[in-house]
Amino acid sequence: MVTSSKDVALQVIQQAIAALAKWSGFTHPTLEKEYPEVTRAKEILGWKPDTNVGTLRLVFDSVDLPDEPKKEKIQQNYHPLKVIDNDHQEYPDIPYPLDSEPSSEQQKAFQLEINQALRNHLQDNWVNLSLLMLILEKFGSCLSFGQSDIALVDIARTTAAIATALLNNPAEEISLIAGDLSGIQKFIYTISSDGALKSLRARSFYLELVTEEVVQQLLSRLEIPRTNVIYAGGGNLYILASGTENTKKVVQKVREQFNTWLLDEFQGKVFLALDYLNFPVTEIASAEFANHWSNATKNLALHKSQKFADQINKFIAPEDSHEPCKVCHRDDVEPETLQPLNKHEPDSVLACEICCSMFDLGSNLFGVKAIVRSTSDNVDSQFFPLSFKLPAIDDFPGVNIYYYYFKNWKPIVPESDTVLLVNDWNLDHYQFKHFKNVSTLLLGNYGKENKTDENNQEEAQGFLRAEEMAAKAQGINRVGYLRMDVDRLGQIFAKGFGKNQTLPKLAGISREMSYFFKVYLNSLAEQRNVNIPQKITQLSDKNEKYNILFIYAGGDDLFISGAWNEVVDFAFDVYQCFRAYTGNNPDITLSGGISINDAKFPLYQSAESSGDAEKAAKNNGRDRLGLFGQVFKWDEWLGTAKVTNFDAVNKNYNNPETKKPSLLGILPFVQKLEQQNIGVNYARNFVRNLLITAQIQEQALKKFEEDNKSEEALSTRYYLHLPKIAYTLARLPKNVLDDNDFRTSLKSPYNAPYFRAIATWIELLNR
Amino acid sequence: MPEQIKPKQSYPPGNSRTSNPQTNTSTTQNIVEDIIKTINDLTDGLKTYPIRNLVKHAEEFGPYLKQQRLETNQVRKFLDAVNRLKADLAETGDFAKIETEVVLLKPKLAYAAARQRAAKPLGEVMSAAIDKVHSKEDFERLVQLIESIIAYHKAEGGK
Ligand SMILES: [Zn+2]
Repeated sequence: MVTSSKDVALQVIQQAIAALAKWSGFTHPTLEKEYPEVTRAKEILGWKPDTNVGTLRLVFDSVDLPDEPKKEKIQQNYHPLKVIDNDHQEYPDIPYPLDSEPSSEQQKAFQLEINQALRNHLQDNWVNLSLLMLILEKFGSCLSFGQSDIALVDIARTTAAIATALLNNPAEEISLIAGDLSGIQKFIYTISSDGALKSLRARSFYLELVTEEVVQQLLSRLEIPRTNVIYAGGGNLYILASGTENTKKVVQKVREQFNTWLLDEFQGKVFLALDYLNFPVTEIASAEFANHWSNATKNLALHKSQKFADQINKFIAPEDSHEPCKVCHRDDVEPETLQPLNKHEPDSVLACEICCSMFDLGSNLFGVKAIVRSTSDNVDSQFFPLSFKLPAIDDFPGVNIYYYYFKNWKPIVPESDTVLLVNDWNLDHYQFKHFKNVSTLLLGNYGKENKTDENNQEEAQGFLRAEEMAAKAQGINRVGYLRMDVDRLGQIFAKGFGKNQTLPKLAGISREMSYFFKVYLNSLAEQRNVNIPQKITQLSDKNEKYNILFIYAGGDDLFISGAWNEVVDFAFDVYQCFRAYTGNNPDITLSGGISINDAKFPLYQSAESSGDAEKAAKNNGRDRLGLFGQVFKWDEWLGTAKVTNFDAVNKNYNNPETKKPSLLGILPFVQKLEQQNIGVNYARNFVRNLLITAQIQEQALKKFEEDNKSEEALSTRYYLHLPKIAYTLARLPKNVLDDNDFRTSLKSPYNAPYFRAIATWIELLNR
Repeated sequence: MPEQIKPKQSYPPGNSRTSNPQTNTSTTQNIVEDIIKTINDLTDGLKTYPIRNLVKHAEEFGPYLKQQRLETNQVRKFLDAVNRLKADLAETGDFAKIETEVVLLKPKLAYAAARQRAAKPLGEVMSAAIDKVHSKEDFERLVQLIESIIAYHKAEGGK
């Protein structure tokens, strides 16, 4: 009998389960005789017979970007021993690292928990790859195997991937397939405002499914199991395969199929770059691997620059233009196929088929639990499926794929091919009796529901609309848009681990990132109190669900809208939680931008302005937030800065300011004034004066734009307007002035750069 | 409140750049002398008065004026005149057009000081400063000095 790659992968995963069982004192089922490919893969990755499961050190601790020497030594962190679980709630709690190794009591307790789970689930599922993988992920994400910072789940998955790639591959050449769906920005952000938020969300979800389908096509054509997927999400994918002629051909054909379809469907807005890179398998566990990874990514950029090279004739062919779709503006569809966007609204605009299905999906996306992939167009589902019609290319037959979505986890679908369970960590759901082929789909999916309108029962209960967000905001009725992403992620992946930049590490770090942006962000938005770390600067201490909507969250970035003040609060939560989650490694930071707009403001413009704010934050040196048209480091906003720009200036004076003010930064003053309840008139006057002061300051600084480090420029920035501040303060009510900290701190040159931000924030909160 | 009897000071009129070291002064008046000495020592116009020092001086001088019971209406004409010149300069950008008027600020202060002793310290400081104004940049610094002093004075409760 021919060995299949699935057999090989299953064997590796079984062995990993056996290691887990051994650690927890559970008698695992007998293992088959080892395939030679498995033996070789284990040898390459250093998996020895005596390798044992142990506690796991935080993989982020090992990240060290060489360009910036560390000022302080990073404290060593450990993963808490905590199973990833829904625990009867929608999302798992965020596991924050520990500063010391879990105690032996904690280890014993965790072993007991694993023992229990294996006892309950292993019996009928020993060959159920899906379930075994989920067990490894649930329990093996916080345990090491071999190296102390490599998780069991990652070593298992990468060993399986290599073993399958070695099958019928005597040359031991391996192929790293990399893919990138570009144009996402165009597809997502250029739509007009009719039902835009909803549609936007649906569009980003749809592109997740396109990525998923590219993966599915590659896996089935290459006949490899899902364990070979190193990373997939947010339009990016990395898959390991044999470095053979067949792989080359499959990559080419799949690329052609998708681009032909994408060109047809999206008029060239979305494009799939897909390529592979071959190298000797032994380099996968060496520093060389980082170069291959980088090169694979670079090659994609090359592909992007030659967009639609295969379809060039079709791309430039003239087409009739018609009445355009009112949402995406495409003008190539027959006018009679345009339909009313919102079927429940009499005067709804006319839109193309995709836009209509995106609008519908937007209403129904909330609470989607299962997605069934099928080649049948006739599955019994309440909701209209999303379809992909891949054309035949040469000897590759065309295929129609449908994705049906369900709001319960157990849809009855006899023709199901693959089932994706959304953010579902429940082992019961992965047992054989329910599905044959199931995997977890991580999805940044949070959205606060709106109240069902009693007069409009037809419209399904959905997310908050922009108007509702604005109405829920404190102070001014505006919508906030937040964009955020990890700084220098490319560099972290290319050289963050130095000589230890191996496949298992990269798999580990991308998995941890995905968990955060796709899963734990949901947890944070849904249940704030249990999901924030202990030492956090809180903007509000309330524990209500955030009035926000995730438009996109995944990979290493997010795009979120909501009540403006809550979007601001959430941004600070995300930053602080992410830093805590990544062990406060100074090389792993986030930058973000927030724009605050009227609910009627076109969405693509809001997306653009929050994008600009984020760009400004990055250009100013990363680890920053752009908000209210200004950019500061996060710790300056939060009032937690230990070092500020003024420190260096101060040192150069003969008589330096003797000490830092007790309140330093923006938030402390905003909070103080919010607590004081100083009355509308006082607040107005104070804000007005503060703004005038900021204006004078900015005017005075204008002439230093060329040389803003000169003595004159610095003293203008930090001192010139202090008299005005003293005067402004003197006009506040007595109880505020009695607050010595407040008074003296605001008059300190340390706080001089923050006046406009403080004033604007208070102004918007009290408008 | 008893006021200090100050020694008669004589500054030469016009653009003298000679410094006048002060002697025999009381401690409460040190700030006046400090400022005047600093200004007199500036060899390249008022624009070289470091902003940080300017602000630190004003921070002490404003409350001192309040303590001397200076009310801003006592120097209203002077402040109005400064504001007019500021506006004129903003409009034309040409310092030459206001140069004479700047010098004429001094008599306005002298007049106020003659009527109210409380206006005297301000008059002395301003006189010294005006003597150092020879360019647009100098005048801008003069305005910054006046505005800083008045802001700290008002912050003390001065009207
Ligand atoms: Zn459309």
